[in-house]
Amino acid sequence: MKTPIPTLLIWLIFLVVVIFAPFFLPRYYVAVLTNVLCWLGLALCWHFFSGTTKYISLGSAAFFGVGVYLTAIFGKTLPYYFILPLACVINFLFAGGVGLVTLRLRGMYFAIFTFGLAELLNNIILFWEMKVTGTRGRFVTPFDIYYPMVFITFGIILLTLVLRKSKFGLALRMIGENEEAAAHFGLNTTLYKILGFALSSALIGVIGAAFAPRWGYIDSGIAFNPLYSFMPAVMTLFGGTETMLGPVVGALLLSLVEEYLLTVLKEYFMLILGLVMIIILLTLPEGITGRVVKR
Amino acid sequence: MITLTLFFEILVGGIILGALYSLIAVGLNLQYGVTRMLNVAHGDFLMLGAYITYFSFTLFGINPFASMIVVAPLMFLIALIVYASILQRVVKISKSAEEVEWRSLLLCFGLSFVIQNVAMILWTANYRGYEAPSLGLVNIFGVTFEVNRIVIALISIIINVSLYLFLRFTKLGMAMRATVEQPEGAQLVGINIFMISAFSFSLGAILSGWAGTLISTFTTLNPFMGSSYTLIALVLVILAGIGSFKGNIVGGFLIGFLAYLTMRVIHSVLTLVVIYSCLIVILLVRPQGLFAR
Amino acid sequence: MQTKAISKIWAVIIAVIIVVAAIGGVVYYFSRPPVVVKEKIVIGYVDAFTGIFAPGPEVWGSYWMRMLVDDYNAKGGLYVPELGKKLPIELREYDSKSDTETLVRLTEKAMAEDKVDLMFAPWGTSQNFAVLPLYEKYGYPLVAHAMGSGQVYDLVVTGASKWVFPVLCQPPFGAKYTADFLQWANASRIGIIGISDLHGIEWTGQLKAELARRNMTVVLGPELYPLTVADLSPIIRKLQEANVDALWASTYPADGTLLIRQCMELGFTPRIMIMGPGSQYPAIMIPTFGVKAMTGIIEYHGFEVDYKASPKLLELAERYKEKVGYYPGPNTIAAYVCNEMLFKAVEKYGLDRVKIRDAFLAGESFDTVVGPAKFDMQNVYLDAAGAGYLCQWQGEEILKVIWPLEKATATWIPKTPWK
Repeated sequence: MKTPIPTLLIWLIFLVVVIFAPFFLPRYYVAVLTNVLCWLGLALCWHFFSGTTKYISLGSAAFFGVGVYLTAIFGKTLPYYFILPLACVINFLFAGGVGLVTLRLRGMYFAIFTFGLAELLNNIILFWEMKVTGTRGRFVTPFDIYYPMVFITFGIILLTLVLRKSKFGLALRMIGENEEAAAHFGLNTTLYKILGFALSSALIGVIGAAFAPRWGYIDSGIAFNPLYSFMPAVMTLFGGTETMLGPVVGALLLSLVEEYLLTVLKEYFMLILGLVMIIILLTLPEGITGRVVKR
Repeated sequence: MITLTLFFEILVGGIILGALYSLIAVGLNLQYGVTRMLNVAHGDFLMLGAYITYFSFTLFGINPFASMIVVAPLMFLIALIVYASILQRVVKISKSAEEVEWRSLLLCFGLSFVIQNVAMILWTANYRGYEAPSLGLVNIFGVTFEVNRIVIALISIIINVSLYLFLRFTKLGMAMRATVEQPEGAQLVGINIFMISAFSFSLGAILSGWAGTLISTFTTLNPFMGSSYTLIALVLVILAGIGSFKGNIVGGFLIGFLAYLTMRVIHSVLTLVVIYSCLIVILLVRPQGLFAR
Repeated sequence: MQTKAISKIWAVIIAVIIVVAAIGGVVYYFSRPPVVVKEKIVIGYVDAFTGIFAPGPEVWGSYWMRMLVDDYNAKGGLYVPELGKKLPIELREYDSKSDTETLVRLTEKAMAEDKVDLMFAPWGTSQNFAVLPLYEKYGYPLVAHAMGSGQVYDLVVTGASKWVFPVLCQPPFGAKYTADFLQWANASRIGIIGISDLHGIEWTGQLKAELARRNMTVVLGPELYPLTVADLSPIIRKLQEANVDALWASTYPADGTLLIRQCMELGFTPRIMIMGPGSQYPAIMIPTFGVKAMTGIIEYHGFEVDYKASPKLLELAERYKEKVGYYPGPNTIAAYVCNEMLFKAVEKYGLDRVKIRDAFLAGESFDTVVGPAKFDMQNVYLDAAGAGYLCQWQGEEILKVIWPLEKATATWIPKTPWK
């Protein structure tokens, strides 16, 4: 089944708008868009594996953080565009390892294990910095990463569009619907799970590596921020897990609305986010787009 | 060089610390064991218990150990309301057991934000503490230990053992086990799954609250203190085996011993790494936990 | 069916986005407000009001900064020389949710979008580092009242950054005065412990190096423990075994409380006991331990003020006590003083931030509630007449300054028995 032309066209229009936006928007709004693109990419990556197979990964922050940290370490010695594929490879292997240990088991073990992964890496790196390298935090030359983010995010969109209709994507979805049946059909579920998780996490790592220059200063606490663990999950569930549309809608809505509400609601924002999460999870179990997509 | 006295100190010190860890985890273990819902807001229930104790002490002068009597009904009520109004709905709208698991997981995340931020709005983000009474020291084989900590350890052991016996030998306990092991069969014999789950969840919340009560005797409180305890509890639940209180104690001792050893003899900064490595090893070797049912 | 339904939504969404963007762009460009007469001064303040860092600003600076703004507004506002009159101050607060990305974004919003006149710095060393590039880019002095790092010390001393003005003492300088004090107090067996985070790592590292330079004996440490530690007794036992008579501990409120509690229980009473941020907050320490037990504990971060040193200071402390219930920690007033410097600079140079920055760089002195103060760009801290390096609990709720001797309001006393 080919990707329908209208969808591609719509994405192309979106891409054009995004490419020309910085010429018309003030700096701050470009920063907002950069952030939105980041969340869009993260939500799509998360959805690619966890949204389809229903193996809830709470470890996005770990892979994101590894990417951030790679840029922090190599930012001054290696070119930026070399660090990105490096982050991809390293996170692929790392996630593959995690997957090997935990994906043979039931989903809950996977969720719990990934939950603490970011914190574990934080401590390991602190120890490393303290004892081995003697450094404390690293400076990164800040520069505008809008166009790299556009490139990466749309790359992820393209990849997702292609893969979701492929054997790979269908296998992941099958695992999510009924893993036992899938196994009975002869599907090597463990292999697909590990590959799916590794790929999804590798791309999350690339986003992290790309995003680091926004902050100018990285230490392990900044790199491994738990926010990046649960927000992709929240956004995807908000938007809906059935199709790619879900994470897109969820990420766009939540990051844009958050930006506005943060300045208005101030310290009530997290509280309201929590309430909204609960309400959405209970009243719209298929997410916002779930109602529209009929199966 | 590890002398006999040092070894004894590490052994007993580890057991005491381990019992504390078991206490932190026991509520979560019970909740997850029976309802199959992973309550990641567990640390925040712990925080609530701590604050209830704090206010009991500062407003009414109630001794922290005694305040457990106040904490219990309050935590039970809060958890019951949470379960009945929110978590039960997840069961209704989910099509499979896995769905219940991950939906409730994310729901509890949202719950965590709500509890933390309500606490912050009510009580500010400021650190709080109170002058908890001290019970002095005791000297065993030349090593001094804090009696407070030993009392906490004893409470933890009593709770774990009681739960083990309760689940094994009482009617209600057996009904709870049936709910997990044979949900359809349980319903057939007339066990009300909802009541049992609600009860287990709320009982687990009491235990989490008590953990908070006892922790408040030696450290400061703030609305965001819960998350680090949630992590330890999660690790221990996996290590122990879900629903196993024998495992909770043994696993707790194991982690406590290793943590104490690391801090005493190796290097404190590796403590969390060591704890997490236990988790990795268990997942590789015996994923169902030490004492799986 | 499915595809059509998705495509329809897509079309709608994209169309809406394009339309909104177009309208927004047009409206923005054609309705920019005409240049108005300036009616107020807006100060941007982006900090963690929720999330894991929230206790930071709460305990440290946010009350002080709001008090400063209130104080000026009560007298009609801040005087702006180019307009020849006082303008009321609006403090615009944004919540970063303890997230660095949000902090950076909202800081840029305040600077580029709201175009605020001045900025108040956030809490936390890493947070300050993260926004420093923005402060440099848009030209705002970063008067950092809650920042402590050897790296910022290097930035200032080498001249790599001209826009950051640390207020508290940084580890390289802090290690020197701490070592001076330890020598003076005849510390013989020193133990160094602390939290394994940036602050702890740097301070303990610098201190150990400085002590080694003076051939002073460190019998234990630096021993760093994780933030989530539940039991410090193994470390305390090690300290007891090593017969430590001077303990230096880089602690925060939570683990500091744990340390004091367990030292009390296990009966470890070093003659000299120096602790980190957290140990000097009456709001936390008095209800938990009481003044008597705390007596003798010293705090090291610098900019320590004795509120009884002048009536004005006492009045400020009393007002703080009315709001919070307890007297403020001795160095939290840094947030008030450093921004008061900023205001005084505005009154002299106007809202020209470059001129203000240059004045600070040149070490120009301004009058503050703790006397004349200037930024010392060699040792990298705010040198104020009434602010010392070390303070100590001495039997009452308001701490005393004990070091350097020329600024001390009381003599150091050894740690008294806990009970």
